[in-house]
Amino acid sequence: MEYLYILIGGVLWNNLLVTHLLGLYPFLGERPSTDLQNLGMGLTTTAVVLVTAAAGFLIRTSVLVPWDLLYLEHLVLVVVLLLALLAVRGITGKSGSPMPDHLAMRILLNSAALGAVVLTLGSGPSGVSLTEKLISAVGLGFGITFLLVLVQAIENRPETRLMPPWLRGVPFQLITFGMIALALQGFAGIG
Amino acid sequence: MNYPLLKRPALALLVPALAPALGGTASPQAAFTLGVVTVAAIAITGVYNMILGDRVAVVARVMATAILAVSVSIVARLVLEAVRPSLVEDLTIFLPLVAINVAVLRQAVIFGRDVSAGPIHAYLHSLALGALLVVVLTAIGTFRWLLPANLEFFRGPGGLLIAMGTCAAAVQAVKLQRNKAGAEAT
Repeated sequence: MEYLYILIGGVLWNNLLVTHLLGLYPFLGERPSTDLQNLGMGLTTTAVVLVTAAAGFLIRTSVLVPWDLLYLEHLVLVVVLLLALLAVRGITGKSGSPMPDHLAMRILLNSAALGAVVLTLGSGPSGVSLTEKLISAVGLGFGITFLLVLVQAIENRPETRLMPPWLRGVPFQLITFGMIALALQGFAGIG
Repeated sequence: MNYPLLKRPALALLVPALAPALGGTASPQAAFTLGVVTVAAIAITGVYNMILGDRVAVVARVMATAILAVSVSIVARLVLEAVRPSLVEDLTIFLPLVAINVAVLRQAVIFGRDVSAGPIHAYLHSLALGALLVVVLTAIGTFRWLLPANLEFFRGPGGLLIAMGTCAAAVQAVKLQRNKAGAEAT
């Protein structure tokens, strides 16, 4: 039950958009145009976050903490994130549908991915187990996926074609995000 | 590398570059510090990219650029811990994200597309973009800090994004109006 609570929390009340204003990049930059592609991008990001958090946790507990090198943690995390992205790209390549370069770049440039890892490893008391950290990472990854799919679904609604030209694009996306953030903040009482 | 952002005007890169840093604008000091660290990282990674040019693979350049940018953020964090420890708490999660900002603002150089005017021109161009980012971040930080208590709503993520969206809509409306007037004049 506690794990489910952490998982849902990552999507709703602990969503990175609400807590740290992260996860906007895929919208203010470029992103896939269909729901399925956005779901795929979100799940790939979750996989990269999960792998990075697991490797980061192991490196932190077995190397950085014993050798008093914690100040290098962010450097290690960035390297691990890049390697995890390359690894996931390699795995998808072997399955016959290689991840395109621009998708890999979108995941890399989505600050929420790195933010999720930094938060996962840095949050909570030091005694928190690896399982809890990983579930937290998956929850934050699902939160990124949730935003990707939700905003795409809103933009795909036929009513959005009727909006005035001055509201289209970035202004509409920012206001939509603001409203989603307000809605998610409403779950804070549960957390 | 086929990356759609490269087709955008350089100034439009500022909008996605704001994304990783927006949360770090809780105060003008934090926003300014974040911007200055970003410019420092752009300056250092830019020199590295100019020296290496196309001699190494793109993947290696991206990795090395990210590592250099994060190293700058680590140094900045150590300096801040000694000088202004209160700022470190505000910026802990956002300092490593400077690497993402550097990648967004300097991608034209990283991927070797914007080389027509020479590497020094591209370098100065990305530094100018970084300076503009400092101004925009500090302005947002000041806006949030100056808000009176009864407008607290705009300090939170929802209110801030709605306020920014409204400002962007106003700018877009003025631009469209100007274009329309220009078209009618011709």
